[in-house]
Amino acid sequence: MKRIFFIFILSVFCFGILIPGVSAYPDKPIKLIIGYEAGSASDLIGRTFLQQLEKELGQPFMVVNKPGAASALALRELLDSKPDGYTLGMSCSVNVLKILGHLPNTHHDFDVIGIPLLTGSVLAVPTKSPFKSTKELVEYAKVNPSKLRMSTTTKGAVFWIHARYFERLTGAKFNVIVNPGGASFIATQLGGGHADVGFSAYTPLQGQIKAGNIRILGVSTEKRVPGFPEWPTLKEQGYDMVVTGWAAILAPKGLPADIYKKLLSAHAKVVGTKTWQDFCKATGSVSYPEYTGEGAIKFLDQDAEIQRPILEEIGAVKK
Amino acid sequence: MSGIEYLIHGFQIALTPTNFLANLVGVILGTIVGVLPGLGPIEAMAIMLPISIHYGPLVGLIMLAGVWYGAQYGGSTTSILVNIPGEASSVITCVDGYQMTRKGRAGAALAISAIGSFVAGTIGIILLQFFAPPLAKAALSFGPPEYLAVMLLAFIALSNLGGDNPLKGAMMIALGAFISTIGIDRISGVHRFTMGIPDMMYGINFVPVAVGLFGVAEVIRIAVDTYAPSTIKSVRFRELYPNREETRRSIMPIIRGSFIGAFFGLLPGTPAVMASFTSYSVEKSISPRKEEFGHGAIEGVAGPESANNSAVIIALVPLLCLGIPLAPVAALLLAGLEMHNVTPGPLFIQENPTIFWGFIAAMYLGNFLLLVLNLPLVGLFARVATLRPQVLMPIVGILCLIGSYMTRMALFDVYVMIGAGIVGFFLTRLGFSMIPLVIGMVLGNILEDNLRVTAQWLNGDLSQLLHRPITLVILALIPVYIIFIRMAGRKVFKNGGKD
Amino acid sequence: MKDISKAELVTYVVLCAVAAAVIIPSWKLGLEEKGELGPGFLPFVSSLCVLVAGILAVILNLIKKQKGVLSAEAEKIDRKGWLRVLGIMINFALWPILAGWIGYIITSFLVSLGIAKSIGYQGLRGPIVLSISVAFCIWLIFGFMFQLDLPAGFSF
Repeated sequence: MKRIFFIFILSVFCFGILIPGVSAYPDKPIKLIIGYEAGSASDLIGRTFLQQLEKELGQPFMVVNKPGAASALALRELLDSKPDGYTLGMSCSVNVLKILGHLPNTHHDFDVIGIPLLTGSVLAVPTKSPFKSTKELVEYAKVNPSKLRMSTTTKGAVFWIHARYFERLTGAKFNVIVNPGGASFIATQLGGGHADVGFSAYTPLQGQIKAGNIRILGVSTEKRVPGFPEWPTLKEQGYDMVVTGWAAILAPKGLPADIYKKLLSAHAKVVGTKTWQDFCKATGSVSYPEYTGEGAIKFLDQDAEIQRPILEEIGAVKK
Repeated sequence: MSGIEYLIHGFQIALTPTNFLANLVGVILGTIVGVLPGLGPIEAMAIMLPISIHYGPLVGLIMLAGVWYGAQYGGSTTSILVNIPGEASSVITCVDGYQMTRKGRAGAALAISAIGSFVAGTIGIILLQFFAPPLAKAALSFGPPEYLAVMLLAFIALSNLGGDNPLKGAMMIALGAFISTIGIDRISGVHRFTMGIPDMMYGINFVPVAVGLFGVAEVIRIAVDTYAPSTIKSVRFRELYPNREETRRSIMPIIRGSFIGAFFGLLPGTPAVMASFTSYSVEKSISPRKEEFGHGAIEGVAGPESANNSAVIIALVPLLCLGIPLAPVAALLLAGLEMHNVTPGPLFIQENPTIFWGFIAAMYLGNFLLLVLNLPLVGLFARVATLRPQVLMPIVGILCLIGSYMTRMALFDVYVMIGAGIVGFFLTRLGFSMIPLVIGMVLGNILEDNLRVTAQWLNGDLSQLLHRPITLVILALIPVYIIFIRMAGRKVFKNGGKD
Repeated sequence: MKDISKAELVTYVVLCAVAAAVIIPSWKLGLEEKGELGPGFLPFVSSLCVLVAGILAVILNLIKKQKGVLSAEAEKIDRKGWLRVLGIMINFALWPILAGWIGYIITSFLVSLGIAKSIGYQGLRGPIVLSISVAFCIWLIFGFMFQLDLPAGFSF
């Protein structure tokens, strides 16, 4: 009796091995490793984009959150994964991780699928703050060095870089507070009045902004953001700070050509859809279908060149 | 519409077939996943998130929430039966819960755990329903110094769990704190003691360690005297449920636990873990039966299990009212909501009354469903514990292995678990308690983060603290706690009286 | 009695040694950086605590050498007991090693078998049936129902 049972099990297993033959990509769920905490701004971008990508590719996505070291840990795992198109990764800092010393690789060590979204950082203050414009803020900070608390995320992460860059640019010294645990803490600290100023993406702050606890002083893009035309850019206020955060979708290097092509076209298509464009608008971001494949690689190269002097200036470069 | 009318409307929504089904499915799946060691509410929700997206925002939310506290309920089951913590917040339940199982009172422990969870969940939902906005305001008024003060208070409170030998206890807490620092430092980004092993960069994950220290160590321990007469007596049906005394002793711990949990729910980090540990510590401090703790005191199950349930419910307050997820679980719910284009925040309740009240009603319902599901199963589960070790241990062993792997899909964690099991086995034999070790690992992270952020925040200017009334109040509570609760505890709180 | 005391002393020494080994690196990581607490702060404080408590414990232990302080469970283990313990440990350790090679299902079967035998399950049929059921259920729940990505090695 037990023998029969045993043989039955064995045959089920053997059958299971035989079934997957040659079939079209993708024929099973795809894993996306997001290098940020679940619920964070970057995580949301990833998941929302995936929702659309699922429809395009016809296969569900499995999201795995692996936060740590500004996505370096997630990318390290991605490097170890098989380049079969079933494991992808998302990072917002991949091109500078080598400079920062978190990872000995750059985006050239991956097959870049595309950049679905770019967003500027917003300079935010609690609503009851006495500063009505960036100028007032900077003037005060210059006279009172290290007095104003600037809330940011972990060292090496995008908003930390922006915060430090702002310091260097304006020559004002702030008390930069590094919060482990993501941008939600920036929202609490600003909303509750525990910090005086902060750099963040729009999304983690939106709850508090809508409640009237947080005010935006400026945004770090080149031109005013279509979704929120009332935000002045930092550039037009006289501070030449044009830095954008972005999210990139990557795959381990060595994807078969046809899978790579399929992913690229799916990416470009989804970016162009109205749903995605609406999402970008609502979150104060922009997206360009050209930032797919080669276009994305070019952007990452350029962005790294922009970021490098900033990082050197603020002393974040690992020797 | 007044609050009650809203609520009734909410129940109507929650009881529609789709929503009810979503609730039921979520709750059942959550329980299954929660029972499995290593998979806790977060992992359960992460698995269910993509599936829940396919339905509308309310349905998806109901399902996710059902999974969430279903997992919370389920996690205690393995803790009690086989000393394997189902997730981080069930670790402390292992201590007295498992001892109760060994005395043949598994059914009572499971039942009290379910009842306590239900009561605490209900209290939590009531608080959420009526006090969400003021609670949210309170949460917002906590800045870095306040968090630090609370953590210090918790640290003092938890120090009474050091076991019989204070020096050994101190060594264990310190060791745990040290282990929690291994990995990449979250604040400065430097590597701490990673010894060149890539996997160490992530740090030593808590769940595999807990599973190893409690579960694996117990398997090894049973191997020592495997032929000794089993102390697990087979139970008659009547003995499966709590007797009168056990029920009476559990009432106050459940109530206290509910409010302790609610408090921690507002704080960032891992509210359920801190809440369950604190509740245990409080119960031990004020119980006239201190010596029983660690050997099967029902209060040691009733309190923590209630605390971890109300904590997770109140953890929703910052999310729903402020739009800020302070706990990782809340962050997942946020992701789920955002993908439906629903943004929680201060205007959430006004703008989305259907969703909010439907959700609240569904939580009451889900809570009730879990009680109804779990109580009859108590008997079944309790019998599992009576399986002889020869059969039970292989099952337990494999569950531990798979469970520890599944925390992060990393074999490294499995090695960590095994190492922890071996170390735990030897240390326990030599009189070291594992509880302070676990406390050290949990508190180490949180305390360090808060210390360093507060230090940055103060920028060397301690006088800033004088402007923070909440901080001062909490700090003042520390000596109050020590005097009042610890020394006078026995006289002031007559818990159940002496028989 | 004396044996347990010796083991305790050894444990203290080991813990102290570990603590001492990490104290200097902790200090080097930086205790303080311009008003902030450096990454070495907690490691330093905790390892110092272990070291101090350990030394105190050793001293106290040596003073009251006559009565060893034992926990209720620390009875002596006989030879057979140690063999069983070793068997369990080896079986556990085998799982991660083998799972990467031959897949989690077969490994779970083998390890379950090993644990059953180590813990004293007499005979062969019983353990084998148990182990097959365990492996099957694991596959059913984790591989099939939840579609999780468990180590497959060269099999499944």
